Amino acid sequence: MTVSFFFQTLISGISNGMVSYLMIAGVSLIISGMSMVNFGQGAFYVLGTYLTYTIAAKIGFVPSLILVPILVAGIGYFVEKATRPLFGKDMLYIMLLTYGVAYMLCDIIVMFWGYSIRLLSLPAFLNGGVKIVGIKFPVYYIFEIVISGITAFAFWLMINKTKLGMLTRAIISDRPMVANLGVNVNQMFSVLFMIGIGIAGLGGVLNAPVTGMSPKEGLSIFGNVMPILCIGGLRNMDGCLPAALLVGLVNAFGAVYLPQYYNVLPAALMVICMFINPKGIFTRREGR
Amino acid sequence: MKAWKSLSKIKQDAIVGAVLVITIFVYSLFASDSVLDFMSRTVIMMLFASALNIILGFGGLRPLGMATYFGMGSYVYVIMCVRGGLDRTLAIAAAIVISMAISLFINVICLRANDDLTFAFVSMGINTLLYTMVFKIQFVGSDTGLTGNVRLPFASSPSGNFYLCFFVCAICILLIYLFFHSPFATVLKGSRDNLERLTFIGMNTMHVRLCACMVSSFFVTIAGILYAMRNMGAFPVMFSTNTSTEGLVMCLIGGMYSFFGPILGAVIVTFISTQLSILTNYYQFVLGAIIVLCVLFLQGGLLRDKVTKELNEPAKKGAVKK
Repeated sequence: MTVSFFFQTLISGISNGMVSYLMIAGVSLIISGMSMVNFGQGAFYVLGTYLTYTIAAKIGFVPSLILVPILVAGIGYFVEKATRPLFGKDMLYIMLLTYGVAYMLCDIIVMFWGYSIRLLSLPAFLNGGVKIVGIKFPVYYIFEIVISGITAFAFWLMINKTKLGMLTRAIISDRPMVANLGVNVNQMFSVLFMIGIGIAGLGGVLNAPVTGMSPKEGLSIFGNVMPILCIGGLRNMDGCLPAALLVGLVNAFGAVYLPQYYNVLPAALMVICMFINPKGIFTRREGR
Repeated sequence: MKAWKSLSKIKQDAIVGAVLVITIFVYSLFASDSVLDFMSRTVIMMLFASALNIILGFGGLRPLGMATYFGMGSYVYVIMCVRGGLDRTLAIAAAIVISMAISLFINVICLRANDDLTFAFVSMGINTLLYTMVFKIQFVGSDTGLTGNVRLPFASSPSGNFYLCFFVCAICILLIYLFFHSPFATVLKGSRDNLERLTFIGMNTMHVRLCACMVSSFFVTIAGILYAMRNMGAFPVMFSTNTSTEGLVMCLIGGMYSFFGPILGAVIVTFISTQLSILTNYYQFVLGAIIVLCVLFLQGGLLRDKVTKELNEPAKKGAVKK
């Protein structure tokens, strides 16, 4: 493996990892903040991709980076409304509800866009390569890393520095107490859910020019990125980013060395991590 | 009606079960081959759903990857028959032993954190892992699956195979019923209702859950072997997430806290999924809509009793779950 090829694989691995981070960050936020699981995340991701095909053709790629996540989050609002009566009951109900929503979304995408797999053509300034220290990199991968890096940073800022993030952290540790303090928890849940889903939509937009996607992939794609959650730790939001990067890199180098089995690797990695620390390898062990 | 209520719970269940078995048997006498094919699928799904309910309704865990064991049973059996050329009875024994060894390994991984959410995710992840591997490996037939005449010699005709499935499933469901009335099942229900208190009285909750998972995967493996016989082969669809979701929906529609719930749900879901895909292209949409409506308006399922109502409304007691 030459040096330039190594760095190119590295960059593509990081960009892949960042895009899957965008998808999984929302799930992680919803699990730790609201202790409910959103299986529809993959479907919303695919929805983001398909909306981009239509919207980017009309108003261009860069505006759709902002518009599509907002649209997807708007749909998430209604899903969150539907889960309201199920709070406090068995978590399985919410799991199955989001499952059902994902099934419906996948078929709605088929109704509007059909089965054909398509690819978006890039705007001129993102198309092509750039030379850094003599090694050529695709501009779009770097663009992806920058955009998702900014999002990850904004996400971290929101959780750690704003009032919304402060309340989120409070809800994670003691939800009835926050409600007693007079905070409108339901409204907060709507906002959190919409943020979680909107980030997944953004991931879908970034993915649109790279991989062609079939509308039925909504559920299986979630199964593919879900090992990231277990590696990073289920109720640990900070573990998501390193875990996503790890999985992205393993995927990229696995595709070089084991081209036939590379999409088995994340789940295999998860099995190994379960033996190291079942609470996630990026989680600190308690009481030590 | 009064005489019915004066009977004990076990007698009521015995009567319902006997009526069910006799109805299916009498119906099968007049059914054509294609209907028998459908009925054997229904019967196998009944076993699958009841076995899944051991950990879903009674264990309080969320098994999202039960298709792992379902597919594993059928695949190991078919590989033993087709690639290994073993005798059928020997193949069944080998399939059960090998699947149980692998499922012990999987269950230990899933339960290592002893946390129900982790269990759900890890079991689903392992399911995805095996599904992808089956798709890729040429030895197990990759995406077309493995086919061959794997039916037992005395039950090779459609009707013979149906009676075999029917007989085995009836016995297995009876065993599951006996399991639900064993002292161990009481402990299992305790782990669903209050895990902390069970820890206080000195139970190793992880071992309790592990035992339940092993029992469940044993019966699911048998269902998988029967399904392989019915289909004359093993196909990757058996491993897919859709199979496990269908199992969950069966338990949900029928009522997962009752014994007969999953059996009723299996009949409904199998009927819908075979008939609907003939009628419409957007079969998944309808299935999704059914799931959503059931979750919103039919919690506890069709067959619910007093116990179910309490389980569904824990908030009213003033104890808010974290």
